[in-house]
Amino acid sequence: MRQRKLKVAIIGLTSCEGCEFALLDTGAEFLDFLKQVDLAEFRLLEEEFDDNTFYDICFIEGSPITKENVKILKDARAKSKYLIALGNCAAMGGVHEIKNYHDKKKIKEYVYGQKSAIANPDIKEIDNIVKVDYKISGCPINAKEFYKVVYALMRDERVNIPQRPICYECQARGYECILQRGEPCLGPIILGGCEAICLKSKMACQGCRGLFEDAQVKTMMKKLIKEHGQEKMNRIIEIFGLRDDIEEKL
Amino acid sequence: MKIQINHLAKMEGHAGFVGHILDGNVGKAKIETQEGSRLIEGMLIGRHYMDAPIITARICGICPVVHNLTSINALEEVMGIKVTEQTLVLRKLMQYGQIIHSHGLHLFFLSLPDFYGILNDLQLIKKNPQEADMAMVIRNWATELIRIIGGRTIHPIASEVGGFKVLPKQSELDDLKNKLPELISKAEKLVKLFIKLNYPKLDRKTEYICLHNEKEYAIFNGDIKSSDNGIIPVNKFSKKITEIQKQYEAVKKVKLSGNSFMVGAIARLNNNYNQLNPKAQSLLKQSGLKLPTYNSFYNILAQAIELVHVLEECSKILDSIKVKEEEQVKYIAKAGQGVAAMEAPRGTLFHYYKIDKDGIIIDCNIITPTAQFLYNLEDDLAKYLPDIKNMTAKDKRAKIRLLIRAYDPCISCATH
Repeated sequence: MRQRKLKVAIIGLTSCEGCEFALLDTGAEFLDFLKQVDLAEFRLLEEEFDDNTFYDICFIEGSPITKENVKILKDARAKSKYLIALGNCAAMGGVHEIKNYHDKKKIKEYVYGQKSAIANPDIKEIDNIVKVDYKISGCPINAKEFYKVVYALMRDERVNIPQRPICYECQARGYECILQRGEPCLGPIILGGCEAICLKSKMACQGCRGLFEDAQVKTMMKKLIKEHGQEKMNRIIEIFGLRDDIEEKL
Repeated sequence: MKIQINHLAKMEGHAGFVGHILDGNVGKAKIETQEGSRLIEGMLIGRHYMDAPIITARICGICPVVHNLTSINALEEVMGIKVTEQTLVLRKLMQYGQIIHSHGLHLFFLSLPDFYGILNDLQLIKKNPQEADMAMVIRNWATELIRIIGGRTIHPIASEVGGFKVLPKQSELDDLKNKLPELISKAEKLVKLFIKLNYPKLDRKTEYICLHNEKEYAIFNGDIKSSDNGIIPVNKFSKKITEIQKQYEAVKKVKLSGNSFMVGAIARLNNNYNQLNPKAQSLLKQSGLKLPTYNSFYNILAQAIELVHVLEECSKILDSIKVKEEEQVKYIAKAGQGVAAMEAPRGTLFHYYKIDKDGIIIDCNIITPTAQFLYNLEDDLAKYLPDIKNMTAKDKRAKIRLLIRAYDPCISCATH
């Protein structure tokens, strides 16, 4: 047994905070988890916390968009033993990464006009700014994966996120293969762990969990582009910040 | 005298507060948002309309359902698509689930601690285990309702333009129905707790805006009702509100004919309280709250009463629903423009789209409840600051937080 409870922080940058709500929505399970740790920062539930502390495990949700976001991220890294990217935004850029692939100045001007001085940086995954120890992706995360990772760390066990595709979980659950039906499903190259939740609702995988190691990206994209065209496929892989990861492998 | 709160916790998104008491009876207040802008509307331009309900759901993790559904409704308005009655009923249930779990969270976990002077929710749960359990059971029921119909609670999957990709199982809806009577009685107990709270005094007349529907307490659809100017259609109203653009602000706050106005549970209760279901109506009577109320602290009590109303509404629907297999309606994408409005937990949400003949979005705008009520909140705070000028600094800050959180602001939505 450990001598003390681990200090855990859950910190949000710019995002929808849906991954934090995915945890809250587990209700009693989340409370049970909180009892086992020393919650050092989680603004959704706490008013005040100690700024001058360290974190054993720090979860970062969201994207560093403002200067303040970047500072919070760097400070969190300096204070943390393990820093974990929580959710698609932190791990892969989030839906707002779409602007990286287009004229981001024009996009900002469309929303705010020419005079606005609001921050409009390229969207970066947090591992471009700080060292990230683990990533729990998904939009939103699967809370079960969060617990698996955090409990492994609490027990000093190795964190194991099995490198296999969505299809593995989709087939095991007997869902209809909509790729075979001709829809542009990214399941074969995307990291499982979401329990194929979109496929359960017959929605094609748009890749919010990112590529798994050794995924056959080239072959798969060639097939999908042949069937659906480059433009449509670019549109799909942009939604969850996957386009840069795919292009790196082509 | 200057009062500053750098980070407001226990609310959605990031913001701070700066206030001044100028000469004893005059206050000045500003909410400073600290959320980066994600430029959601800008990214939608040039994309296919089918992406809009998926991307706009990501505006907010607490109210993704209402963004998703408002986006779908607006696009169906654009293309003149009429979906089936069953689709409408299932969407309405999702929307009610959205209101229940958002209100449940805000009431118990974000607002109540303020009244008890507790800074940390875990202490609140320790001290009030029964109430905490009730709040969680109610939230769980609502998140399950959304999951069963929408495929997932946060960022739903099954709902899309034209209908549902898959339909929920009747047996799962029946299970939810069977849990309702006990749930409603738990909710009533919880509301009684909120009736007993000591709400600070505040009285500042403002204009209340929400949807209105002759058939029911409007949450899902209707025209716009103003407490001052009666009823007008959504498309006409959306032209009367102005988004104010400031150089360094990521939130475009909204004015109506140059003035601040209020949306949300208190606006709905003020404008439509005579349409509440019996149990909610009875709780309103027990509370002794005189309507219209011009005290924004009562937004909390209004949410509590709505919680019971919406559960009663779910009960009506679940009692009679028989899910039948049906195809989505067939339609052909065509050029057009349109706007839709729904009552989000925090107030009226507007989505506007214009698409070309290929279904590509060429113009869009999303106006969130928080962007609409931020000026009203600042006006309330300015009025309230002189009232609390003689309190200790600590108490002042506590009261300011209480008023801000009574609004249930969502800064992620306001900025987007």
